[in-house]
Amino acid sequence: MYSSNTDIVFRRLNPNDTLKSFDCANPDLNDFFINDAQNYAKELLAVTYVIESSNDTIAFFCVSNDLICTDDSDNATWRKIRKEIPHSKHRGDYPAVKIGRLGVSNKYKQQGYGRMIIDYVKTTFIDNNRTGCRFITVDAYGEAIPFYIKNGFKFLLKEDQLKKKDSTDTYLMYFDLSSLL
Amino acid sequence: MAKPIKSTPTLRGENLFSFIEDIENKKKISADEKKKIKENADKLKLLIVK
Repeated sequence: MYSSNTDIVFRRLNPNDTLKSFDCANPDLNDFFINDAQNYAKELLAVTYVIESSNDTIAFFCVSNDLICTDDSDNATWRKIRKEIPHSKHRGDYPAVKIGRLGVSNKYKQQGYGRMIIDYVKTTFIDNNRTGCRFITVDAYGEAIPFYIKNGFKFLLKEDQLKKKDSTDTYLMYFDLSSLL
Repeated sequence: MAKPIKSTPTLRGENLFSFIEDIENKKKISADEKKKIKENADKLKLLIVK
């Protein structure tokens, strides 16, 4: 289990930092961390944070601004919503933060780091955010779906929910931060 | 190059209905669970280096 080891640090990854070794057993996630994470930062598309020991990367995750938009022109569905959920209050769009990628090194799996990251994002975007943020969205690999469900996430798209899950494919999920208020 | 991060699509049809239904009927998270979430987040905050 996780222990408060003074050698472990949590920090933002900068575009010119040297990466410490990382292997989470998912080749695509490894590839993202090694080859893409710093480019996303350079282009201001996502910010990656790392948890590191003195020798290696324990876990990483990247976040970016997101928006959940609803289609105003879908009159048939809005009619159904007004009929079946008569007092619903809704907006055209909802601000969100997207966890684009999250990986925990094989060596440190089952030690609570993934949950710690999710809970950190949940609390940060309620207590310490500088702009409004109603949802966390995530582009989750198939193998991580049970983890996100356990942490209160739901599928954004019915087709993702029904699909046979594949460890090489990703699925969109969301968490409603207002459930924590 | 790794698989690009998927964009969040505009919700329509069944996806729109399920989303609105879910946010209107969401369950509040219990005080115990909120406490656990805060404790976990605090563990990570302790490791922050500036």
